[in-house]
Amino acid sequence: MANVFPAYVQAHPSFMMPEVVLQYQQASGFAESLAGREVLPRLGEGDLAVYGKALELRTQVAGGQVAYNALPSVTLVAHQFSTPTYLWRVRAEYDHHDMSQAAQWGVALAEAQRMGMRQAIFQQVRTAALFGSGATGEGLLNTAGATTVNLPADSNGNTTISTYDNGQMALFLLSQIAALKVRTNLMGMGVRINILTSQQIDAAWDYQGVVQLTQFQRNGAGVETTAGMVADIAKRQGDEVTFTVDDTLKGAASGGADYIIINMPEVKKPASQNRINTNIFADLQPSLTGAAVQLCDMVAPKEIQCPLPGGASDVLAELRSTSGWGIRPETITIITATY
Amino acid sequence: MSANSIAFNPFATTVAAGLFLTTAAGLVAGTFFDDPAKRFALSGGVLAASETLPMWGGVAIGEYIPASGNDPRGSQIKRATTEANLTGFSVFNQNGAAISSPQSPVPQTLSGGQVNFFRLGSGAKLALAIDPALVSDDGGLITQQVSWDFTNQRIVAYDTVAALPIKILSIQTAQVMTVAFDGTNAATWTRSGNAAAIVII
Repeated sequence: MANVFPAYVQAHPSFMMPEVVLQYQQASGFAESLAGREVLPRLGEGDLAVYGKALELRTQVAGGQVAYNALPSVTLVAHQFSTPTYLWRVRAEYDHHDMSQAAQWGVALAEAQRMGMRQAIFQQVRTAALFGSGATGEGLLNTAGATTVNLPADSNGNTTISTYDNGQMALFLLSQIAALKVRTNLMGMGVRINILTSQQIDAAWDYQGVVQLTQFQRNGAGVETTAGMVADIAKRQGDEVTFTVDDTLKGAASGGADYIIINMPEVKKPASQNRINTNIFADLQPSLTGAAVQLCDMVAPKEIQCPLPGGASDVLAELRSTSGWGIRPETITIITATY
Repeated sequence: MSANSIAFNPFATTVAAGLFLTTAAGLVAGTFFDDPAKRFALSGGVLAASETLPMWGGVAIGEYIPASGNDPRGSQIKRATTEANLTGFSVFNQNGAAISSPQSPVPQTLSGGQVNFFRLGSGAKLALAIDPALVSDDGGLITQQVSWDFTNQRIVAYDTVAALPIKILSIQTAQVMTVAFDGTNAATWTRSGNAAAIVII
């Protein structure tokens, strides 16, 4: 697209402020929903799809006071799972006249175009992480088998975030975290939970949502916010709960509701300190701990520069990534709630 | 038309669901219980060109003498359609040539591919899918008469036509993996199925 740096008129004498007021974009917290809080730079630049391996087990055992010889056996079942990759590309072209014109505005055009292209690609990577790239099952929100919940009414019949009872909101979120840990057999083990939602919902939980005083003692009553109560109680169980925002989730659910993604990006191996460990099979070999991942070929776009006739330059930026991939759907809870 | 494809969409997204369990105690339908004596009854054959559906473990099969009289790859294998042409059951065991894809994770054999199976009379102990209604057989004799559902490939109540030559040793309804087939070429694992440990007689 274009570089719009027009000639300008001013009164003289005058003073031009040297700093430019830049457009700021929301720095999305989507990566906190991914294992390792980052995209996973493992792809080769030409890899068209990603495959994963899973191994399942079913057991039988025989017993008796003394030995007999017709015994059962266990069965191992391997299977694979997959997701495609997408190559995101964008181009910039400019010549020395464009650069000169931008320089009149105190802007280094080559760098501005470079950052603009990164912005374009990174936003698309974010969209792919949350909403996918168009095909079925892509993106954390479209994870097949993820738990989906509509925000139920509180005891006063309120069904929107802005009217919900703050303490009950915190208890609802805690119950979702607990349900997630129960599903994954991780009660008793501290895990990382990320809650990604819109700014307005996060604001309700972080600012105006002070937990009310009640007739009984409630954690943080009169002092703590919804988010503070959630983090505080979960912390006692060893969990780290982080609240991150992305406003592309605002109004994105049906009926204009917002999405809230509660997920456990990394799974822990349920461990026992006892000699008889009923999860001993998981000690077989190191296994994938990432439950929600997004792979890419490099962490910043590759840039290819090429001179054009007439003194212009062409810069192409490209990055390959998957969509958000909820490998273990049991670790993802998607809540739909109207603000 | 022969069974000549399994489902494979190279650009589909699939996940690894169902891998958080309380206990692994269960069965995988279509498998043989390791047994040093019966192991040598595991036979191989070739899925017939006339077959229109791929083959997987736990399917009732009919075994046919090769048209050429002899084939080093073994007999021609077709799906059994009635008890009259049922001669054994296919199994997953040792069949690393059966193929899978993310969309169709259950190993399947296509026409011309190898089918591993146990014959009736082999005495092999297998896990086979079963109609959950047959938990009513619990507590009864292992020789209670049952029949085979040739559409859904599972043990069902006795149809008064022909009894299946098996003994049911146990019926399990938890952590049981059975095969769900889309009717064309995709076979996926169902983790809420029901299976019986049986002995072929």
